[in-house]
Amino acid sequence: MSEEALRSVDLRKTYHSRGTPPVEALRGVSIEVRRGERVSLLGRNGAGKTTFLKIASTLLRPTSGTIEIFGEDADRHPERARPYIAVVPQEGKPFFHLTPREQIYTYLRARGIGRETAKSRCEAAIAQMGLESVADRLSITLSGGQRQRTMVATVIATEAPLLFLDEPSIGMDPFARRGVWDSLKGLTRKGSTLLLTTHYLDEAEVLSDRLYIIEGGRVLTAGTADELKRSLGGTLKVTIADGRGLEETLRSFGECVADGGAVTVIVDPSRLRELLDFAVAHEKAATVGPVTLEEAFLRSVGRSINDE
Amino acid sequence: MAQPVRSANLPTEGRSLPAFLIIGWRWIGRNPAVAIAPILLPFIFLYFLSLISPAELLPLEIVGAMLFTLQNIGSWVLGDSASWRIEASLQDLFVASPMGRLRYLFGIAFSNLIAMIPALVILGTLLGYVEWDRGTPVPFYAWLILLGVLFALWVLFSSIGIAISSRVKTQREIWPVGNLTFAVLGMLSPLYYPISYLPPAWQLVAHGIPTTYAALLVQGVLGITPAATDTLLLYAGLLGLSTAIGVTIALRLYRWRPG
Amino acid sequence: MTSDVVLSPSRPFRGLRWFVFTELLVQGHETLAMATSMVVQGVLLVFVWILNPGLLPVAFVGAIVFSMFTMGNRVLNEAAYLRIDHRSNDLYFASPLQPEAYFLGMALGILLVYIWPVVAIAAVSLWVVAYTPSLALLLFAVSAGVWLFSASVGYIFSTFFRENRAIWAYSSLFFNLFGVLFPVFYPLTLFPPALQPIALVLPPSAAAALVQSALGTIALSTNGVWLASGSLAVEVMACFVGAALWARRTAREP
Ligand SMILES: Nc1ncnc2c1ncn2[C@@H]1O[C@H](COP(=O)(O)OP(=O)(O)OP(=O)(O)O)[C@@H](O)[C@H]1O
Ligand SMILES: [Mg+2]
Repeated sequence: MSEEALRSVDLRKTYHSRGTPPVEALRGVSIEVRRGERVSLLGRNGAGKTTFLKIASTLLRPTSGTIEIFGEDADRHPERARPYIAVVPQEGKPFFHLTPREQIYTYLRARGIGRETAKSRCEAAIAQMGLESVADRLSITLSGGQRQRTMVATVIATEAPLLFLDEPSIGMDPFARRGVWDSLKGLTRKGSTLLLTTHYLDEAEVLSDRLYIIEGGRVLTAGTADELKRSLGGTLKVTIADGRGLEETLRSFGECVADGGAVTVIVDPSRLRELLDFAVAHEKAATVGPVTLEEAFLRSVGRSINDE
Repeated sequence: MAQPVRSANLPTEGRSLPAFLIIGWRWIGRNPAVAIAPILLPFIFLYFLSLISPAELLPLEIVGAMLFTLQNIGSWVLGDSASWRIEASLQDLFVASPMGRLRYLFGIAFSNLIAMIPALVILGTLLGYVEWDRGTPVPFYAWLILLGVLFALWVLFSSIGIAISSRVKTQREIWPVGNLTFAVLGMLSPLYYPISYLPPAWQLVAHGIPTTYAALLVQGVLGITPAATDTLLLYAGLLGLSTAIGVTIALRLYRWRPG
Repeated sequence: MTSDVVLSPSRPFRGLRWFVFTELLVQGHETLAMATSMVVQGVLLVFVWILNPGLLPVAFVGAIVFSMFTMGNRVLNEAAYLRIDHRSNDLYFASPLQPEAYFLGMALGILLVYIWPVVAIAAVSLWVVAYTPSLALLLFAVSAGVWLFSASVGYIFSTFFRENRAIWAYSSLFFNLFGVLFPVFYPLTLFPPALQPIALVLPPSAAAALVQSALGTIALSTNGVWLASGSLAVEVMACFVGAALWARRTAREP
C-alpha cells in the first residue's frame, strides 16, 4: 500500500500553440505528498504551479514523466484516481444561475453522494465558509470573494481524500481566509490530503506541513517553512539604522542587505547578543524581528534569477 | 489500487440526473425567455415556410420543425458546455470527479431537452390535429417511431455539440461555430420539403447526413411521402448506421482532458 | 518637479477613430464569424429558391436588409462579451474615450468587417434583382438606417446581461422574430392584413416594404410609404441618440 497520496517523477509539460514558440512550463518536477499532509507550491507567476496542479488533478496530460495518485497512474488511468480527488481551479466561477446552496448540493450529487449526506455536507460547508447570508442568492449577484468562497465550499464539501486548491483564498478578506484555513485544517484532521498554491506567504506558512518553491518549471527548494527560513543562515533579522559604514563587520554575522542607510542582517539566535553589543558599541539603533517566509522566498528565487 | 484513507462513503461512480435536473430546471425557471426561445423558434420558421410553400406541405413542415428542434439542442449543448469550460472553469470540477465524460454529456443534453419539451409537445399536438383533420390520423406505431427518431437525433446532435465545444478556444467562437454547423446541417437535409425538390447533386450530399434519413423515415411512416415497407426499413437502418458513425466520430473528438 | 495636468473639456465622441481601429483589429481576426454571419440568410434563400423561386428577388433584397439588421447581434454579443468577460469597458470608460464613442466605434468596427459578406450577397443579387439607380440608392439608405437602428438597440440590450449564456436565447428570439417572422424575406402582402401596419412600423420590415414597393412586387399606398419611411427615420434617430445617451449613463453603474 502506497504511503504517498501523490507522487510525481520528472514531470514535464511543453505547451504547443500555433504561431508561438513552445512553452516549457514544467521541466522535470518530482514531488511527493504523503497522506494527511498539507503541502503548498510557491512560485512566481508563470512558474508552473497551475500546470502541475492540472496534471495532478487529471485535467491535463503531461508531456513526459509519471504522476501517481494513491499509487495509481493518473496519466494512464485517470478514471481510477478521479473518485478520490477534487479541485478548486484557478479563476473558477460557480454556475451563475444557481445559488451557492444549489451549486454545492448539485455538485455533491453529481459526484454520486446521496441526498441526505449531500444536504448535510452542503449546510456544513456553507457555515464553514460563512456563506449563510448569501446562500440563497444567485451566484451572479455575489461579490468576487463570495464567488470564490462558493467554489472552495463546493470542493471542500466533497471531503475527497486528495484536494487540489489553486489559489483558494484569492480575493478573500482576512476573516474569510482564516475560515478557509480552519476548514482545510479540519479536512486534514479527518484524513484528507491537500496540495495548494498561494501567493500569500503567511497563508502558506500557517497551512503547510511542507512547501515546494517552483521556479521556471523546476523545483527550486523544498522543506518545512522553518527549514526554508533557516536556509537564509538564521531565523532572526536585525536592522541596524545608519549602519552603512559597518557592513564589513556585519557581514561576518550573516547575510546583509542594505536598504537606504539601514542594513539588515540575517543572524542565528546564538549570535544575537554579540551583534547587539556590536551595535550598541557603535551607538546604532537596532530592531530585531523574526525572518519571514516571504524573505526566504524572495531570497531563494532571487538567487536563482541572478544565477541565470 | 491502494485504498485511500476514507474509501468508505466515497462513491466511485458519479450521477447525472440528480444534478442536471436542477441545473437545467433552474436555468429555465430563472430565465423565462430561455424557455420561450426554443418554443417559438421552430414556429417562426414554420410560419415563414408555410407562407412561401404550398399548403399540402404543412404536415411535412411540422415534422421538420420537430426534427429541427432536436437538432438545435446541439447548439444549446455547445453553448452551455463551452461557456462552462472556458468562462467558468466549471468543467474542471466535473473532470476531477467520478462523473466521467459521458455522464456529463448526458447531463447537459438532458438539461437542454427539458427546455425543448414544450415545443415538441405543441408541435406533436399540431401534427396530430392536422393529420386527423385531413382524415389520415397518425397511427400509434408512427408516434413510437417518431419518438425513436427524435431520440436518435438528440443523442447524435448533443454529442456533436459537446465535441465541438471541447475544441472551441474562446467565447467568441461559440456562436459562429454553432450557427454554421447546425444551420448548415439543417439546411442540407430535406426537413422542410420532399427530397425530390432538391437538385440531384444536392440529393446526393443530403444522403450523407443522418437527419435526411430521419426525415425520410418519418415522412414515410406518416404517409406524407408514401414509401414501401422495405424502403422504410432501409431508411431506419441507414439512420441507425449514420447516427452510430456520427456519434462515434463525435465522441472521439470530444476531449475531456487536453493533451 | 511639478507637471501640469491639463484637463481638456470632453468633446462628444472623443476617441472614436481610435476605438474603431481597435475594434477593426479585434474583429479582423474573426474570419469564422465573418463567414458564418451569412448562414441564416443563406438558408432562407435556399428555402425560397427550392419552394418558391418566384420570390427570389424579394428574398435577396430582404437578405441584404436582414444582414444589416443582424449586425446589431454582433454588437450585442461583442459589447456583452467585452463587459462581462474582459471588463474592458471599465478600462475604456476610465479613460479619455467617451462612452458614446465606445458604442459607435464598436458598431462601426463591426460594420467595416462584416459588410464584406453583405457586399458579396449584393453582388450575387445582381443576377436576380433588376436594379435601377433609384432602387439601389433606396436599398442603400434603408440598409444604413436598419444597421444604425440594430447596432443601437444591440448596444442598449447588451448592458442588461450579466451572463453570456443568456444572450443567445434572447437574441435569437429577437432577430428571428423581427427579421424572419415579419415580412423581410417575403412580400408584405403575404402577411396578415390586420398586422401589416405593425410590420410597417418595425424598422427591418419597414425597410423591406419600401424596397419591395420600389421593386414593384407590392403596391404600397401613399400612407403606407409615409408610415414606413417616417417610422424608420424616427426610430433610427431615437435609438441612436438613446444608445449614445445610454452609453453615457451606463458607463458608470448606478
Ligand atoms: N494553455 C497554455 N498554452 C501555452 N502556454 C501556457 C498555457 N498555460 C500556461 N502556459 C504557460 O506555462 C507557464 C506556466 O503557467 P502556469 O499557469 O502553470 O503558471 P502558474 O505558476 O500557475 O502562474 P500564476 O501564479 O500566475 O498562476 C507560463 O509561462 C504560461 O505562460
Ligand atoms: Mg496559476
